[in-house]
Amino acid sequence: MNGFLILFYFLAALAVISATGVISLRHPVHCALSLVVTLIALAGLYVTLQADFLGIVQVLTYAGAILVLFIFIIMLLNLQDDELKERGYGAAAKALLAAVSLGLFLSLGYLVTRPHFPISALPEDFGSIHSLGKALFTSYVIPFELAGILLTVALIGAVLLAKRRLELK
Amino acid sequence: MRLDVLQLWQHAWPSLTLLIAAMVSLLTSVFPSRHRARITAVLAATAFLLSAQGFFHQWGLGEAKGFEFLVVDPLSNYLGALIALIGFITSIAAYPYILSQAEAIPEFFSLLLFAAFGMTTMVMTTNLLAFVLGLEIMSLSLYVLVGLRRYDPRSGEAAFKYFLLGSVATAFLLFGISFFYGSTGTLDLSRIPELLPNPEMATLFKLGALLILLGFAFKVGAVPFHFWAPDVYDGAPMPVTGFMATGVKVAAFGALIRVVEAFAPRHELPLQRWIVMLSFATMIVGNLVALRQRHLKRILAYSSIAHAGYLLLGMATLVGTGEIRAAALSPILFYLLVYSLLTLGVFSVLTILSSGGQELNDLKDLDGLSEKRPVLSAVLSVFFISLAGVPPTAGFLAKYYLFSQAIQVGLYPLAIAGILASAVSLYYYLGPIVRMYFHSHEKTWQAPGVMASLRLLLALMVAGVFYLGLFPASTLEISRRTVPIRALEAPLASPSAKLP
Amino acid sequence: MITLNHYLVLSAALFVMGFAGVVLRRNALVIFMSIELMLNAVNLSFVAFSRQFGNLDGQLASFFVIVLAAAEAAIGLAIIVLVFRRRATVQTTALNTLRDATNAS
Repeated sequence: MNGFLILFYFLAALAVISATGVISLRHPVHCALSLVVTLIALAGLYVTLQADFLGIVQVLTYAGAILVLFIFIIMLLNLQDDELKERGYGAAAKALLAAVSLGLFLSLGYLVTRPHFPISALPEDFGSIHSLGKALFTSYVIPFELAGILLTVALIGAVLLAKRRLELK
Repeated sequence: MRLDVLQLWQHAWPSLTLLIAAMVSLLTSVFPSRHRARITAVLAATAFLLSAQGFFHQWGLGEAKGFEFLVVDPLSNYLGALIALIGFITSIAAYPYILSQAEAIPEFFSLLLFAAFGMTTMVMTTNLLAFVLGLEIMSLSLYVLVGLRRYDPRSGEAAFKYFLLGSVATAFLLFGISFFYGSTGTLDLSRIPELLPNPEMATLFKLGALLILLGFAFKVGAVPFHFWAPDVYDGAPMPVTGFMATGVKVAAFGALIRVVEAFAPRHELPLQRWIVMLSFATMIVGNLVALRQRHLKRILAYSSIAHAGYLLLGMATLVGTGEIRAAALSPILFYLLVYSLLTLGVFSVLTILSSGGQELNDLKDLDGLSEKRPVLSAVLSVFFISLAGVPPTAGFLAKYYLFSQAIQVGLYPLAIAGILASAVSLYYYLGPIVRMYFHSHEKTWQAPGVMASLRLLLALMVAGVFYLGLFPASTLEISRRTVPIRALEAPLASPSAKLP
Repeated sequence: MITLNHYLVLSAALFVMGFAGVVLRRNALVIFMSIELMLNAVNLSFVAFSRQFGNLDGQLASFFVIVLAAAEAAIGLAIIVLVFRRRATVQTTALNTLRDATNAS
């Protein structure tokens, strides 16, 4: 059990540090790469929670597909250096934001640690492809179809908005 | 558990019709044709009408049917019919507008159908997962619809702002749903009563409910989560603004009724206090800020915020009763109907005026309209006056029922604030009318003639304003008999039901 | 001993960091990544609760959240491309055409 704890702290620290990178690094490509590290750390955490298949999906689709889309767009826009300078907040506002975030985190953390959750043993195939697939295609078939429609809408929408040719009259 | 597809189709076909029409209308792009816009428009209007008829027919059957993720009950049928009618009116009013655009996009109608399908999904479920998926189908379609005038930077900016704030709101909603799941072990709202309240989980449950409510507050544009609405309404194409102002409100309030129905019996939640505060802020801020606006669409945006405040007042009344009572529910449903009718009426006329290729925006653009377009001006005035809640019209009765219910439950301060706020609203609704009738005509405003079908539709809508205002009995009876599934089953299932 | 609370605290931390990123940053692309961070925090708490209850609903919900994130990313990036073509910037401060006009125009 102790090994578990060490693994958890390692992955959690990795996730938090790389998440800090996402919100503080200047260049979007660096942010995206930090985000990949966060996503992989989270995938590891899913595995410790007996969500093996979800961990794999996380790496494949999130880190693999969604982030590649991000990086692709960053390359496409080819931002110049002066474009990366952000006319953001002053130091005082940043400190205020940090304080508010800390307060928000502390109160959230306080609330979620109120009830105590012990971790119990689970059936052998919990979170396996077999059990998930069975649930997804039987009892969850309506949300599954809805997700398909959602992706269709996203596809059509993205093409409509981003296609280059303006068919002006 | 197997899903009986035939049975699903039998009960959910009005909603699925919208989906099928959306898919088919996309296929028309395979055959490039000059008539594509017309074909998709006719297809969309037909599908909307068919769907509305289907929902209404099912409402008449009065039975409830629950699938694992879908619920077909009088409430879903009422709201579904309303959403389909909103889509129908929007698609008719938008047709000349779409043709007049520099880049005519027939996909407008497909996205309209997709968005309406998402809305019907939102009101046809008690499962939070299915609800979120419906919400996202609606939202993504709307983000694209808002940005559809691609050559217009204002449209893109509006789409960007809507997307950004909308996805943050979705993240909050989802975080709330995860806490809801964490404290109950289910994603289904209808299963709350049977789950024993675990005192240890109360804080988590409260946190989840609060975050879910915040997500809703954003979607309906309640103060202080309203700041996106004026910008987005302003930048969006005119018919899309009308569709958003009505359809999103109906769907979000419909889903909120389900959430409130599940949460209201849980007394550890200070649900009523939250909603009362939201309603108070929304009515006051919405109406006061509207007074200072110079742009027509922004006035209407703040007006829609104010109306969300009145509807939240209805919600507070509903929560106050502890369980879903038809007496408290029917004013909300009636108000949704009347609000949609009036707002769509205003936007239909404004869409006609914007169909000359130029987007009507400033209040000044209405100057002296009564000389050039006397009929349209009169129609627009009727809708504005009714929105303000002037007596012989539907707007007055809807407000009257809402406020009198609140007074009956003892929400005096809120009801008084609502009455005062709607008195203030008279000022900004009369502004455009004064402009049309008493200001001299400066600009040569070009708007084409009105299609016969649209004329007929507008005539029917104006008739509806007076019909609902003077003879509301039958419509009120419909809204009174519209109850969610659990209330319908309650006399049989609930052990606390009183025996005669 | 490791408990679920560990995971929930981490999830809260990631969510708040994502939200701070949305408020702090001016680069639209980075803001979108911060939103992805928030969605991942949601997923972590779903999976953790799913482990707690021993039912799969939470894990399935996080699958759907991934789908939702993918769909949002596609639309969001398309909107960025649309705005960038018009204004050649991804700074949110540059998007200020639409605002309340308080002085008479």
